[in-house]
Amino acid sequence: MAATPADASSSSSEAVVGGEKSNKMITLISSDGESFEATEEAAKMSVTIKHMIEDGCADDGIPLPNVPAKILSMVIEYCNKHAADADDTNKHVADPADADEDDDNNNNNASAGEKEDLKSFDASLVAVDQATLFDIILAANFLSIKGLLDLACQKVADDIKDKSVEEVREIFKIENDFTKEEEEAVRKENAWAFNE
Amino acid sequence: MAMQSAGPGVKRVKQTAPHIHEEAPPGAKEEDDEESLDRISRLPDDILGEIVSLLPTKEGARTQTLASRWSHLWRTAPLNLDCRDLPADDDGILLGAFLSAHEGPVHRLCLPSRHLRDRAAAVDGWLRSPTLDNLQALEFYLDTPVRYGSFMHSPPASIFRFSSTLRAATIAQCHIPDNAVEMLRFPQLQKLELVEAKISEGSLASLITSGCPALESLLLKTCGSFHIRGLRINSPTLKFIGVFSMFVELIIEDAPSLERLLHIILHVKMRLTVTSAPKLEMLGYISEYADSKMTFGSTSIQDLRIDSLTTVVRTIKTLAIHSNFNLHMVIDLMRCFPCLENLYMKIPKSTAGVANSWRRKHRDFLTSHDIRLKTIFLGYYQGIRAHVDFVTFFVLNAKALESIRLEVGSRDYNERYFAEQHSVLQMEKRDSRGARLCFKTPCDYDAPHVMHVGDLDSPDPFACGC
Repeated sequence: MAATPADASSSSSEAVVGGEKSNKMITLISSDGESFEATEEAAKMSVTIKHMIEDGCADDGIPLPNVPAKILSMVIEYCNKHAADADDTNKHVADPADADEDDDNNNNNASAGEKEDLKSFDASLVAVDQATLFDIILAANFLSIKGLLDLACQKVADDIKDKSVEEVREIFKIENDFTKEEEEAVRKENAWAFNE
Repeated sequence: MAMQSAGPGVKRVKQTAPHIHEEAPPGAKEEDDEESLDRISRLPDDILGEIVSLLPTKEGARTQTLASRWSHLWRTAPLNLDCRDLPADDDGILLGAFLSAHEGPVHRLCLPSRHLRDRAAAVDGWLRSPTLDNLQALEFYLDTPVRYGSFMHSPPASIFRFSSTLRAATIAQCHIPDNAVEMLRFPQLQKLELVEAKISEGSLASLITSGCPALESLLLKTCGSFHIRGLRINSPTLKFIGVFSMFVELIIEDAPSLERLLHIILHVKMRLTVTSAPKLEMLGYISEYADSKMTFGSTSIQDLRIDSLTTVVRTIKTLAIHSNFNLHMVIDLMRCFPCLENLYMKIPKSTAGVANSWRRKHRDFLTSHDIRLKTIFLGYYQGIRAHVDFVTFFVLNAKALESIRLEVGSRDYNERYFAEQHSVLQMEKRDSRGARLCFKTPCDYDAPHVMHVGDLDSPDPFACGC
């Protein structure tokens, strides 16, 4: 079998797979003054932070006045998990026929099991009380983390699905400020939506 | 202020920076206030619109009656319009009304394919509605089974106006003539599902290669009249292919991103030639009984038996086969696919067992090979000698084994049987301490549960969630 090509190893830090992967740590500061660290790779899952890094504003830590510590730690957890997953799928062996035994083991794409783990991680991240869920949404929106925003919005949609209008009002404490006539009118206009 | 402990891997730095912002952040309200607070209505409009647009059409429309703040959201939010959500007798009237009245964009439109036949002009008109300008997903779904030989209509010309925005398309019961294919360009299309679509193999190949330069998932379903013969796949982006047809002949000429090839039906003939698919890791179901042939370069496998083995195929990690529990055959397959980690086997019911005694016969294989299998799924396990020998081979020799799942008849699905099998299969002497033995009841549906193109990338398409 052919010898392993020098640049096909995955563990070497000189390996370049579509741009350099730096191990630099970024400091993020929550609204209540707590500091968190994340790898640059994970932090860049936030487009907002990515731009700040690229504009050179990140060197002394990035203050996030809109994001409390409790939420920021969850957001960073999400980014860590998903950055690692994105990294896995980017690794590949140059030519499988040439790779030796070790490379095969190191360069596995995320197995079915790992993808299941990511799914259940995501599910448990958003299985929180309403207040926290909405805070996650606001943070993900502010930080421009599409995956997290989609995930959290989908959770809210799932909570609304299959419930009557009255039940939705109850769950989310929405005050019905329609007059009787107004509500009648909207219901009538959308009668088809209320027939089962 | 209570601090929740950070999750694993979240590094908190010891020193805290001075307070940056004096106002209390949203998460810091007192307990009793939270109980009565309508927090959802305080989300910005575009996020609420996003949430509303994730709901099925009817429920989305109902949100208008929640409160005055919500009354305009549905109308202006991106709309997913699925005719399956509308009253069955609607026949397009409501649909037409939505398309003209909705103020927001329509991102997804699903129409029954019968409209193409019965209301072609109306469909053309709907598709030209400006509300559909940024349509991302268009689906003509199959609602009535197609009669063999029935005339197929072509998709309306207006379909081409979505070329620049369409990300997903499902076309059912359509005839796509060769001259039409030349004009089709969908630069953003990632998912394509063709159900009972009449299109020549050459045109289909060209549609995949040049018509859809960003294609990632492809599902081809045909029944009865149409087969997939001699389809050549050339695509730099295609990752997942699913096929459901009475006869399948695929030639993977150049597919550098292809990860999965799912053959969603047992018992049918499949011819597969792989010239270049360096990332192909999931393959199946391949049947032993249907004159199936697979060729990887100069290595060829006929009916799951190795014809010639010149180069091993290292990329395959997951294999699903429809065959008897035949150890000799599986060992040969493991020689051909040395990195195999997940094996799914479905046996035709009431198949007689083959002799699977292995201690002497396969000693050489065991001394010269590492079995890398992590998961094994066997359906329909009957506990006969042949099956027991088959399973114990792996229990006692597969160092990396994590799970063995046995699908058993409902009669055997009880604690006593499980305990008995645990002993018969020598689980206490298992080679991999982490290995677990599980049982499940049979599923009515034999083949992978892939119904739509979106299912092709699910984490475990061969697993039955029933």
